[in-house]
Parts: sequence; C-alpha cells; structure tokens
Amino acid sequence: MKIRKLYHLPPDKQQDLNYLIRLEWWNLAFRISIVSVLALVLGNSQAMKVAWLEDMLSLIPPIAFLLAVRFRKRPPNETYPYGYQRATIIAFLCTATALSAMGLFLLGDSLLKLVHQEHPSIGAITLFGETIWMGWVMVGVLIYSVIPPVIIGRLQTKAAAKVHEKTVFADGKMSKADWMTGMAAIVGVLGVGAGFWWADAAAAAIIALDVTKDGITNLKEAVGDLLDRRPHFTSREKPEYMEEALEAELRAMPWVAAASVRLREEGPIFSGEAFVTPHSNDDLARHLKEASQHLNNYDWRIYEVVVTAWPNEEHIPSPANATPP
Amino acid sequence: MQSKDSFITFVFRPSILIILAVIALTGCRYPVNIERPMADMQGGELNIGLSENPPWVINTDQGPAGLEVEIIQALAENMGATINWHWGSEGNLLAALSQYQLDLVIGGLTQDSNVSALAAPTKAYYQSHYSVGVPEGASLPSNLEGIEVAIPAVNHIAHALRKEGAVPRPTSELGTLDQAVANPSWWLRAHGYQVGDWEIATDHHVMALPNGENAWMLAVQRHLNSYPDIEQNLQRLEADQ
Repeated sequence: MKIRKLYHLPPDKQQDLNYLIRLEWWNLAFRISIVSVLALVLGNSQAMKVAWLEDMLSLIPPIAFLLAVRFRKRPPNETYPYGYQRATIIAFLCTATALSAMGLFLLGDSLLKLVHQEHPSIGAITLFGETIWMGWVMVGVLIYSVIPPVIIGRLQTKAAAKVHEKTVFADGKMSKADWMTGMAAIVGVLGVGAGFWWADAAAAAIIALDVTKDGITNLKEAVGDLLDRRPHFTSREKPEYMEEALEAELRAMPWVAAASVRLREEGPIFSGEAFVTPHSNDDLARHLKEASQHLNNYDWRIYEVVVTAWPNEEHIPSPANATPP
Repeated sequence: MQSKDSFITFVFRPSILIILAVIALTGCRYPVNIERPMADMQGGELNIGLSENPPWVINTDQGPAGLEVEIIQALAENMGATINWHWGSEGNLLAALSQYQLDLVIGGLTQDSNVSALAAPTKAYYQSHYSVGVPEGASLPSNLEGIEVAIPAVNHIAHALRKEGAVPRPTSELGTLDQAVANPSWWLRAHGYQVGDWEIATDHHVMALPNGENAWMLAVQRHLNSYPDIEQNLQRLEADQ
C-alpha cells in the first residue's frame, strides 16, 4: 500500500499559520465574551435574540478550525492513505448547514412575529441602584458586540489569504460584515423604544436574511471543495489557473511531447494528476518521478501531483476556454 | 464593494439619522409606549385588573385592599391618575390585558409561563421564601428528616418538602397549630412562628403589563423598586386577617 507523506508547510507559511491559530484563539475568546454578555440582556427583543443566535453560531467556525488544524497534523495511515487535509472542510460544511438552517428558521420566526403584530416588551434593569430602560443597556452591549469582530475579521482575512485557509477567510468576511447586523439590531431596539412595534421584528428579519446568505455562501464553498472543484485562490472568485502553469512546466522538459494536468482542492492545498506523453520510453520511470517531484515543489500549496505516461493518440489537450484570459 | 457603499449611503446613514431624529424629538420621554401614550395615563384613568389572592389582593366590603392594591394606589397617586378596578379571574384578566383593555393585572402573580405567554411581567419586586417554622418557645429541629410538617391544604411545596426528608401534612387551619409549619417566611413571622433557615421554595412576585408598553413598564418598575417595607406590610396585612 502506498501511503502519502505528511504535508509540510514551508517554514514562513508555518509561521503565518501559527499566527492565524493564535488569532483564532483570540477570536474565540472575544466571541464567547460577546455571547455571554448578550445573553444577560436578551429580554423580549426578537432582533436581540437573532443577533445572539448569530453570535452563537459564529463560535463554530473558530472551534472547527482549531480542531481541524490539530487533526491535520496526523500523518496519513493505512486507514486514511490520503491523510486528513480535508478535516477543515467537514467542519466547514457542518457550520454552513447550521447557518443556513438557523437563518431560515429565524427568518420565518421573525416574519411570523410581524404577521402577528407582536409588541416587543423591553423592560427595565436596575444598575447601581438606578432603574433604567433595558434598551440602553442592549444598545451598549450591541456596540461592544460589533467592534471586536470587525477588527479581528480584517486581520483574519489577511492572515487566512496568506495560508489559503478558505474556512477562516469566509469566517473573517462574515465578521467584517457583522457590524451591519449589530447596527440593524440597535436600530430595531431603538425603534421599539420610539414606539414602532415592527422595528424589532423587521430588524430581526434582516439579520436572519444575512445569516441565511452567509450560510448559503459557505455551503457553496464547502460543496465545491467536496466535489473536487478546480482550485480557487482564497480571496478570488475566479479559478487559479495553476493547471496551465504546471502544464507549461512539464512541456518545458526536453523528454515531454505533450502534457495536461487536473487539480482539486483538498482543504487549504491542491492535489491532482498530470498526464504526460513522452518523446520516447527511455528512462521513463525516472523521468516521471522527477517530474512529479518538480511539480510538487513548484508551489507551496501543491501537496501531491501524480505524473503518469499517456499514449499520444489519446492525449486530449486542455480545452481552449480553460486558458487564462 | 460598490453594493456595500450604496448600502451605507442609502440605507444605513438615513436609518441612523431617522433614529437620532426620533430620539431628539421624544427627548427624555424615551422609551415611549406602543399602544397607549403615557400622557394619556398621567392624570387620566388606569384600568387595573385584579383577582383575589390574600394578602396580595383582598376583596373587602370597603373595596380592594392588600399589598399590591396599596402599591398601585400609591403609583396612581404619584401619577395623578384615578383607578378603575376590574375584578376577574387571572386567566380572563390576562387575556383582556393582551388585547390592551387593561393597563395592569395584579393578584399575587408569580413568574411563570402563564403570565409571560399573554403579558409582559415586571421583574420580581419581592421574593417569598418558603421555610419551616416552629411555635415560639419550641426549639428548631437541626434537620427536617422524618419531621411532620403542616402545610396548607392547597400548596405547591409538598414535593420540595418531601425532598428535604420531611413528612408534609396538609391542614386546613394553620394559624393556631402547636407543631412545625411550612409557609412563606412573612406568613410564619406574622403568626408568631420562629423561622428556620431552610429554603423549601421561592415565589417570585410580579405584576403583568401589556406587551410593548415600555414607558409604562419603566414607570411601574421604578415604583416597585422604590416601594419600601414590603415584608413588614405583608406581615401586617396577614396579622390583620
């Protein structure tokens, strides 16, 4: 049985990953503090409830990432000869499913409250012997809840792009947009205080819509990876066109007559196959192995490209539309 | 990026401005009620639903009495409002409250799902701690294991008492017994019992307001929080009966 070698990041990328891991611990700590503080002031507001559940769900991506990076350190073995690189994606798929389902549920719940014309009660709270309107406390807590995610989200997207961690990148993008849902909740709470009963449920519906949208975006990303989609770089919508670059590398070798490559995403890294037509069969096995080694060292994101020989007449060149514009 | 910028320009900034404008207009009268304006209540009429539950609400020949009646009378006086009392069962009153026919419902209500399903309960303004007491002069047992304890014939503490190892004995006339009795501490003190430090159960006492009347809620809550000597008043009312 041929078992893969363990994937090793280049040292500078390993440093970037370590930084990202530290960042995710901070992210988790702040998220937990936000969820706990929000829980204290939830009251009867639907917008607060939805914002709180959104923050609860936002605990999952950092937890999933931190668990998955531990898992990924395990070397491939007889049971899992391809290794554990995709552990992140499993976690990511679960998060995305939870987000979409919860988003839809909250959207329905909020719309139902609008239909029933429910009047939200935001009571009073006694702090330091002074009884004040709970809404002010809610607004204060909501303002706190939007500041750390925006800052950490920015750091996250930058750091995640460096090591091609799609799950963290997606999470960072969500956090960056999180301030809008926080603001929507603030508008909802203040609207209720101003006597508009619908402000709360309407704000909740907007937040729920945003949660659903995030869920579906992430679901697409996770399913793309599981369906062996061609590699995309973290921060871009378009494919990476690394296949064409590898083909050029192969064609540049003197013994290669024709070459075509296909790649797939395996979590943060790429794997695939290269089909090469040689000029002659002399020393073919050695050529193939060297070509494979060369490709595997071409880019840090490439985990394993297997190079095989292919007879000339069956060689189908890459489709014309796959070349970069 | 463009869609985000246009979101900020066309949705976010205007909505913040509107909210700020509303806050500025309402000034210190924030929050406001959704259904019945506070200005209408101040110096107007308050419709209070009440169901009998001594000593919280007592139905006497001279009209309503009891702790919660006194509290609401004081509130109405502060507001310069007159009170229309409406007697009824808790369920009917809460249903009427949910349709904004009443401004407040009292009747020794405690925090539970029946109240919050139809109304907005206040925060608990008083907690009744159920304990076990013995007649003056007798000594308090060190624990309740195997002790026979008299409790009201209708109660919600028998289960909790059994957990403490006591033997609950439902009794119709509790006031004149010569044995251990379980009831709220204010009741035990009012009837001259020595109160042990067991915590059998706790009732969180609330009043019910219509949903969404947030200014009214703030006014009631402030009044409840500043109302003095609730425990002494309960003992006085209980001793008078």
